[in-house]
Amino acid sequence: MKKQTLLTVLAFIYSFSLLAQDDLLASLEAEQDNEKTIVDATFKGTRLINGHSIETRKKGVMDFIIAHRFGTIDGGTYDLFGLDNATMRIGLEYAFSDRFYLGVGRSSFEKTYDGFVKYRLIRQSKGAGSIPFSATWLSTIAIKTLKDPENDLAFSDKVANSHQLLIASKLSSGVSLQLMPTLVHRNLIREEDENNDVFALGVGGRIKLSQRLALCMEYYHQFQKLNENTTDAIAIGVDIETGGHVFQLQFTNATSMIPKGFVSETTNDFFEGEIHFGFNVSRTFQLK
Amino acid sequence: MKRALLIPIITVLAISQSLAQNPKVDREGKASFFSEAPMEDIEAINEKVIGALDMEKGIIAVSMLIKGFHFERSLMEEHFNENYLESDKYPKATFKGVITNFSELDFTKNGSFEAEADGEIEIHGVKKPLKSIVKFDLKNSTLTANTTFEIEVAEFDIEVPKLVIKNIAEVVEVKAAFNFSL
Repeated sequence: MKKQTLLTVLAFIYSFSLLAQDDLLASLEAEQDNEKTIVDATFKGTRLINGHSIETRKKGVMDFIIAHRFGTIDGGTYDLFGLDNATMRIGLEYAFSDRFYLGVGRSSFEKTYDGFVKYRLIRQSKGAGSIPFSATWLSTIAIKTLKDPENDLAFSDKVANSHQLLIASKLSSGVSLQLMPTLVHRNLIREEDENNDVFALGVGGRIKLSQRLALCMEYYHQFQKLNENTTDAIAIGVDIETGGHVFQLQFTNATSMIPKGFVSETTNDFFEGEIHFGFNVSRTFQLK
Repeated sequence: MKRALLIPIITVLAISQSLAQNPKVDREGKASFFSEAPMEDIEAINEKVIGALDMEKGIIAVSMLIKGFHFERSLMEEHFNENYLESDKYPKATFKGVITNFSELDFTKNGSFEAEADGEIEIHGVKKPLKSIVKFDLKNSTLTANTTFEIEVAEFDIEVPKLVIKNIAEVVEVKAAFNFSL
């Protein structure tokens, strides 16, 4: 027993003396190797393509985001591959803390207002007590204000909401993957619709092609659909980052840019060429 | 029997070594840099720098996490880590070297004096020799060390795209400060 204690003490003293030797630096570095650091920038923007990524802006940052989806490219030269038509969404978002993010938007498609609450539950980290993934909760409410002269609708009838648990992991500096279990609920559905609730699972990811360019993919599979005619939303795009801007260019079969829309109301067939070209442009302002 | 002899010998050796070379360590050292470019000035500070000074041989070592640098604008911080310093691949910046005139310095009485640190700095995985003047200030057994030097961004393989060349200076001023209690 005594000998053991003595050896421990010796080892301790000796480790102190090692500190003093030429490779002082190695010992300093070792102290920092296990320091916990949050993994940032799993994705460049707060949107993967159509849907949200786990990312939120940092506290005090406002984001202004404009998104366009042109008509489908199968219209040919007559519609200039869809460029004659466009639906758009403008949005304004603000980070109240590094975790809590709020946003509002308006889509021209069905004159829809939307608002969302996003909260970062878990942040991926390295070092002591590391966590290999991030998780963010997203709840969105959408209010359709397109006039419906045939029906007398109450406010609650025009409301749909969606809830998503976004789970992502930055596997390396260049590769990130994300899973998005999703529920879309409508208070009122039309006669041709079957389900008030739509369940879907989204998968997506990005591969960095260079420091400022990334290739992104996103796919939402529906397990319970609104009706038989809807299709799964597919999107493929690139992210281009230039200072305070993120430009996202994409090809997708979805027309809507809010979760209840692109997850459950997409009717285009991606593989039949019913694809929209579109873009998201975000501009960041540090307010605080 | 042999072991009985060995242990006291090691003990004596270890203790004498630790007494003689006991390095002073500051775990809350500060490092900052300042980039002055036509479009904007960028400043960042790291307040968790570890610095060590070996009082016997005048050896110095400094290590800091790139992620420890904080900027006024959070997006700059993200770009600094992601696009320029690549902190995933190169998490630390370090310096190791010696105070060349250490034996001439007197750390027994209050006062200020200058010394030259000569060593090697490593940023973004690139090692470069560095010489810098260190100003020491000794007051009531607290020794402060301050140094300022300039580094060329391009020398450390940090690529600045043409688009933002007016936002980021080619030469960046670096400052570091430590407090050691003697």
